[in-house]
Amino acid sequence: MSGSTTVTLSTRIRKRVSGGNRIALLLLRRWDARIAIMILSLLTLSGVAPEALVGPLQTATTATADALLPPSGTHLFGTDDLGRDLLNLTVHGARISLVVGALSAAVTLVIGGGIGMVAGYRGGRVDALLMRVADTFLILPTFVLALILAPILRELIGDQTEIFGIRTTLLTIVAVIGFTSWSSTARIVRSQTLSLRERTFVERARLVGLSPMRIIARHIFPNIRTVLLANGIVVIAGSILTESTLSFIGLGDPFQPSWGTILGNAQSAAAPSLGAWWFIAAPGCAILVTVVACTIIGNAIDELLDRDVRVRR
Amino acid sequence: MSSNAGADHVRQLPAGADAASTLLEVSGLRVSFTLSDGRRLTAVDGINLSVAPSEAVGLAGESGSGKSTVVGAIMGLLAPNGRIDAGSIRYRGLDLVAKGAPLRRTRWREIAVVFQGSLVALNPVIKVRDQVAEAIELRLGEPAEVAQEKAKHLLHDVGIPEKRLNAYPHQLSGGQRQRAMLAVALSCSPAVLIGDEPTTALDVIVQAQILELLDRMRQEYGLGLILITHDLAVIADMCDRVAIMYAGRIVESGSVKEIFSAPRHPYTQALLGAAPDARAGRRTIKVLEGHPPDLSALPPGCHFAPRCPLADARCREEDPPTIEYADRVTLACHRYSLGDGKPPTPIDAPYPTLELGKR
Amino acid sequence: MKARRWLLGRFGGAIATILMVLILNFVLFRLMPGSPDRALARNPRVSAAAMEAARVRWGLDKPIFPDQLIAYVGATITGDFGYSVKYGGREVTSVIGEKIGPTLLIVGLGELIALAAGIALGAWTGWRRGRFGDRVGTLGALILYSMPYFWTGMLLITLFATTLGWLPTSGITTPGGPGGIQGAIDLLRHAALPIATIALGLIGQYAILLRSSVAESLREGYVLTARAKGLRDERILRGHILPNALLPTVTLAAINAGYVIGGALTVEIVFSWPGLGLLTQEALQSRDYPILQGVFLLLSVSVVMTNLLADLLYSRLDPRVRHGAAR
Repeated sequence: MSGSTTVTLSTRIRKRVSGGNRIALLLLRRWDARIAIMILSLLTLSGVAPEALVGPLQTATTATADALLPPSGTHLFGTDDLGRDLLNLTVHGARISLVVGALSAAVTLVIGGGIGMVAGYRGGRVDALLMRVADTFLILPTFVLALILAPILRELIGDQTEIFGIRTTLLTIVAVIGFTSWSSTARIVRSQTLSLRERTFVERARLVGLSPMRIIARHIFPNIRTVLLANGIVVIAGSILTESTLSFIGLGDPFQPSWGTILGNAQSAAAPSLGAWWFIAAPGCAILVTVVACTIIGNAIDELLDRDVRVRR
Repeated sequence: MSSNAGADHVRQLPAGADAASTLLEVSGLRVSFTLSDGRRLTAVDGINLSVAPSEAVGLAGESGSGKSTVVGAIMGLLAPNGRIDAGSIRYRGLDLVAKGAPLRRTRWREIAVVFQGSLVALNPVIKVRDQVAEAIELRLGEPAEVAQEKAKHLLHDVGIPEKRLNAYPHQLSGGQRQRAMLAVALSCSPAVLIGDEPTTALDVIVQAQILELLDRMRQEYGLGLILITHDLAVIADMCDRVAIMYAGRIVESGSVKEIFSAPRHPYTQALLGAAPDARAGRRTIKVLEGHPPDLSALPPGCHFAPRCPLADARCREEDPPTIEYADRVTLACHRYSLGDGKPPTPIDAPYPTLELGKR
Repeated sequence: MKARRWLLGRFGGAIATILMVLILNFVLFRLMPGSPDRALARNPRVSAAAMEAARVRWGLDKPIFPDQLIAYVGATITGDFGYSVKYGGREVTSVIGEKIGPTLLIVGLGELIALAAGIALGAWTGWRRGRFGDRVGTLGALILYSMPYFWTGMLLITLFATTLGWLPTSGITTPGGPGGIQGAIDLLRHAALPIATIALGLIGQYAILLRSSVAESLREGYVLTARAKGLRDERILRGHILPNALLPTVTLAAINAGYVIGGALTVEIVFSWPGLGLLTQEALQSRDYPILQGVFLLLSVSVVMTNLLADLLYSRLDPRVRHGAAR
């Protein structure tokens, strides 16, 4: 693309299109971001309408095939220790892993973003205290904390609740991830808020007499949206990894198996010793591909933001 | 007194070098860069420069005039997107541009550089003394202890106090760091020393000290000195000859005495008239409007035409040729012709003036 | 001296954080279904008298706040972590002490290997920034970074233990196996895959971090000076760039040391490696809360300590921090 046309194209787009869409358009220019977006779209499709792709989720009772069959024409990914088709399980697992990942990220962003903005805006003792608390949470071992929180939360939430079609056990995981991951988001949002606080339009709002809450909501929040977006995508990737680990050790829901749960089943069935590599490969590759795709997009957005900041100066 | 170099150092020239030739000779040098969108930018367009032993040559010009690119070309350190398009650079007759040129051999041992911004040019996590000793040890092959001793002497020579001999760069003051950089540059006893804005960002007193030090080193070591700066006062103090650069070209060059007393090129006149001269009692300054051109999109004709009060249609169409007069005065301006070969009478370029003190 | 004050400040901060962790520990375990004394009551080995003594000692007959809290904090500080349910009333400290060795073995060796390999990969890709080697190396590091530890472990077992049969599939030693040198080799054979798993999980981080440090350093002025000096590329990388670029990586390694122990827990499950991980899983299944509490505390404190260590390390390594500006 020659130099002048690029300039004209982007300035035209910039004028017409709002921030978020512009980021999407600019992202699509990069080949690696394009592939990542395609992969994530495919996964989201699996997550939204798994039945359309592979039919209903196979359970222990509805499984018809023999156990631990290697991949073949009838079973593309092979079968698990109960004879369930692994392609079926993996596609259905997409929904659980993605929804739990997204929910956890949402919780993390809300808590982290909220605390970060308050800490950054208020400053002083409030800030110091909040950051001290954040530091404490940062060092807590996720794994053990999850084990401890799980039964507690189960008592609190009750066994039969369902949100977004996700049952209690998994909601516990959402809560645990949110509980342990909010602190790094809080730090990032806090530093961004600190720099925003000194800008003139915030000064003006303060002078006019708007309440701090109002200022934060009206002026600060809109400007950290993009930072939250970039951070959010990375948080989603991390949440998916954490969720898979927690499900692996048994905190997941056997009736709503995520990729991690499937791997936990593989471990219990001694799949590695039996050489049942398909049992291990399918869900694991799904996790890998999702996390890599999210990280690539997150990094790309980060770079775009950097460039934006530089141009604005 | 000088310790390692000068007296006991018998200069061993690189293979192919000729002790009798000019120390450093740059002729017709053209350097261009390829930008990220594919366009080419000519940073240096036909430069001639030469230095003799114990001679100090100044290269003057605003930022963006291409001065630092010349350094990069001479040292063979252009950025990956840069390229020497034409011309030659000869060190004692050795061609440094040709493929397979002994660039690594000449670096530091024959030609060394004192870079601008010593805090950035020195490695922050390595002691200054070790940075001086490094070249002595690795380029001259001296054993470590000997290199350390020589480094100590060098640092002492340039005026670093005893208690700071083991310091890290950030522990030194700006002036001390620049002295240290000078010690690093002199570590292999080069024949040519290039100073790239060596005194920018230093206060006037320290600046004077550094310049005095440079001068002393030049005399002791018999260095050929190339001083690159935008500060004409520095050139007036230090140099025998000067070349004025604008937008990649040398518009005027000659002896400092000649150029400073009778500037001919309109740009030189603007440069010299741009600062008030308290000593000469001058209270009016010439105002040069506009800014240096975008080198990737140069209009035809003389590069200086858009800002020149003497420019006419011809200036805007044709590149002015560089004319060489007697006494090695060169000039690139349509207003002046060769005539009888003697440097012509300067034509006063009518710049708007500003009188100081008046409202 | 300013440095000492800063050190005291960091130390104080660490103590404050540990205190908060203790309080959190206390609160969480009081909230758990099944209080400590009930857990002890289920253990048939503990006599009624001992149980009553424990109740009094733990102050369970006193109000929770502040008496029990203070008692808990006091007991913990003096090293009384309570008694394990599953392990027949043994002291938690003794049980954990026994199991921590194997964990430290694989974590320690894994970290060292990951550091060495990560630094090499990072330097290699950073130097070739933007070129093909860089892209491939960075993609590789990204992939390794995105693989859950336990998955890596399972894959390694399937490949090297089951399919190729080179190494054992699980456990720490062959039961009834040889002692002495042969025993040591046996141990190493069993430890090889767990160590490899941890190393692979960590390489990505170190490689990516070092790469960006190196890439950044390449643009610094002193690299230009070094090249102008006529030094060879290898010397510039080793003698000038790495001393600068290693600083953040070493700090990360130190910080990681605390967290990796937590991450190793799933690896231990996969390999049936008798360390803290397996202990934690068993403790969860048998509701051995004192053990869980002890592990929780141990992990938190180790993270706090390693963070402090990382700060100290950085201040010693970076001469700009160590000596401070002169003027």
